[in-house]
Amino acid sequence: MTKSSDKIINTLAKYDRFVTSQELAQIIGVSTKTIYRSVNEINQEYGSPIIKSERGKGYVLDYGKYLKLSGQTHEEANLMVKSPLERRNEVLTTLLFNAPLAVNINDIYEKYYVSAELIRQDLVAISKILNKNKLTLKRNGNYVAVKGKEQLIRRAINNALVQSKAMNTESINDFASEFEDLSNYDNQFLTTQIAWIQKSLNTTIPYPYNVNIFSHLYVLIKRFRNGKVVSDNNQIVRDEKYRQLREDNAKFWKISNDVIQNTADYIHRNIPEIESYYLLEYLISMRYNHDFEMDDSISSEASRLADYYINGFGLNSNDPKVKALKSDLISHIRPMYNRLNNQIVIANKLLDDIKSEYYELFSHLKKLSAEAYNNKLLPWNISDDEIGFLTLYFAKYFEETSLRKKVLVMCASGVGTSKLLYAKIHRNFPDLDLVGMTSKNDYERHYGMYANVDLIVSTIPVVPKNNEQVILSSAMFNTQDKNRLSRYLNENNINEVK
Amino acid sequence: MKITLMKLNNIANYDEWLKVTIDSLSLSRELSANVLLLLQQRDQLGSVQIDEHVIMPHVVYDRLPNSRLIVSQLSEPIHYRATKDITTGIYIFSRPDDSSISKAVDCLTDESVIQALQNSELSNQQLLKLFS
Repeated sequence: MTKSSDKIINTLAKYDRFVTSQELAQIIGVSTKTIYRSVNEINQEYGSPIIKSERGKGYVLDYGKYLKLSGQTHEEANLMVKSPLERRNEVLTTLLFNAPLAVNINDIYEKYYVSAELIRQDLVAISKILNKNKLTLKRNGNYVAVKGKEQLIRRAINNALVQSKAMNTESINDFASEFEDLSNYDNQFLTTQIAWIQKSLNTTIPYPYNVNIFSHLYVLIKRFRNGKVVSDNNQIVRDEKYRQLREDNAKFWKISNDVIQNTADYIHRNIPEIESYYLLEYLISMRYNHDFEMDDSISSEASRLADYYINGFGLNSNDPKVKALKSDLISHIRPMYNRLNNQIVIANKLLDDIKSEYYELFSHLKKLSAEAYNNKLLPWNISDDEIGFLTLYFAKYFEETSLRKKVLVMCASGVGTSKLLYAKIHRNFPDLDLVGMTSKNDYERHYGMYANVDLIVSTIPVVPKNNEQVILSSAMFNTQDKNRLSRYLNENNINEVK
Repeated sequence: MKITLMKLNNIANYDEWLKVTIDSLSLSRELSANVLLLLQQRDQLGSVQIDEHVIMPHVVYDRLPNSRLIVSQLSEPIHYRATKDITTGIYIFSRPDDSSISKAVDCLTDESVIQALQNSELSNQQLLKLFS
């Protein structure tokens, strides 16, 4: 069973009422399409529908049946569905949170019921992951501990959280619900800090920054409580880079200092000043930048990279729409540079949808990004999550420009379903150039009249007489029909310019 | 063009619905058979479902004495292709190039009209108002 399926069952069990697919999609951080597919898979797997659906109401879990068919308690079922990767990730996170203190392996693995050989294999894999992060796993009998610099430990925790997809939720509430060990008090404290930052900046912290800052503070609290934080505070604070950062961002510095002080008071621990700098890096990585100046060198690098991507698609840089695209890209790339500079990892909760919806676009941007890295235009090899964000800007551009295509709407009679379809297409794609409606017979008799048409959207099958593309659509013009048209417009435009 | 409202009970399936509706046109046996054939041919080409619970079977036929639009509501839903709960049919029997039919279909592009046509309380008067 997939992780989404597991989450669907857990969420429905928790809510104990009908939950709409939109609600479920939002809570779990996947598309409604995935919800629909996963529910079918779950019901097939159980051999009988344990999740019932009702039109207009959504989904509800037949909990009695679920328990009976799974033949165990809900909690036990949870353990059953943990994949080796998820288990390893959980163990890794536990070890990292406790670093550099040693943890008894038997205590960690007690709940997984796995063999000694599997534990050995897990530890080998975990050790490799840690080595990649310049950390080491030390073993002494039944005790294991992670050793390395605090900053590297924190980075590895962040990577593990991103991999667990715990950060793939859009709201703080959903994010908080991902962590079983997050108490109500901690949750309330962290939420208050986010609210306080927003109030101080007089703005809303957008996704994914809200979740990132929440996660950063959550990790901070856990590190100070569970592990032993050793930081070379004095050396780093004296560092010119941090001094400059503090001077350039006085307002953000005050906020980050206050939040760290609040946190220190809350957990009754002394937190070194360097933590305020770490938080400051998160704050200035946020997208909104109206009240602080960005480094000019970053702006010019961002502009160069934006040009590179635009050239990579063969777009005309003098076109006003391309100019708007460039401006959007620059305002995204600037904070992206800042994030990458400070090794802040962000998760893109839409990544799966972006990959499936804009596959061509995503692949091309991935290729361009790798080339940009090789050509030293990008100092880092950027992650799929970051490429996903860039994809959205190009998708928007292509969606807007593709609306110049000439579209003919067709049905059998030319007065029935085509009229309704025409109105629905116009309502959903108001800028699309709809040249008219016709019957199939009329088109076949006078196809010369439609030589300039790029696309026929028809409620009945038709063989194109000119070079038009044909998309079959239902007269309802439902979501699938809209997506098909949208995908056609995107893909054809991308293919044309590449 | 004449617009009529029909409320039907005990319709078992789509075929029966088509037959009952065509019978209400009081055409000759031959014309009725031709109209049924045309509707079936249209169905073979593609779905005429236009909303969640609404279908719009329609034909353009030059031997029809006049154009008709019949809004037919069922007391019990029937299956239509993959959909299990179709309750309303907007049947259009049009003569070629009939602008009144074209105007009526224009009214159907308004989603609120489609919603109103599914209301089981709909009266004949209200129906005419929707298409006026």
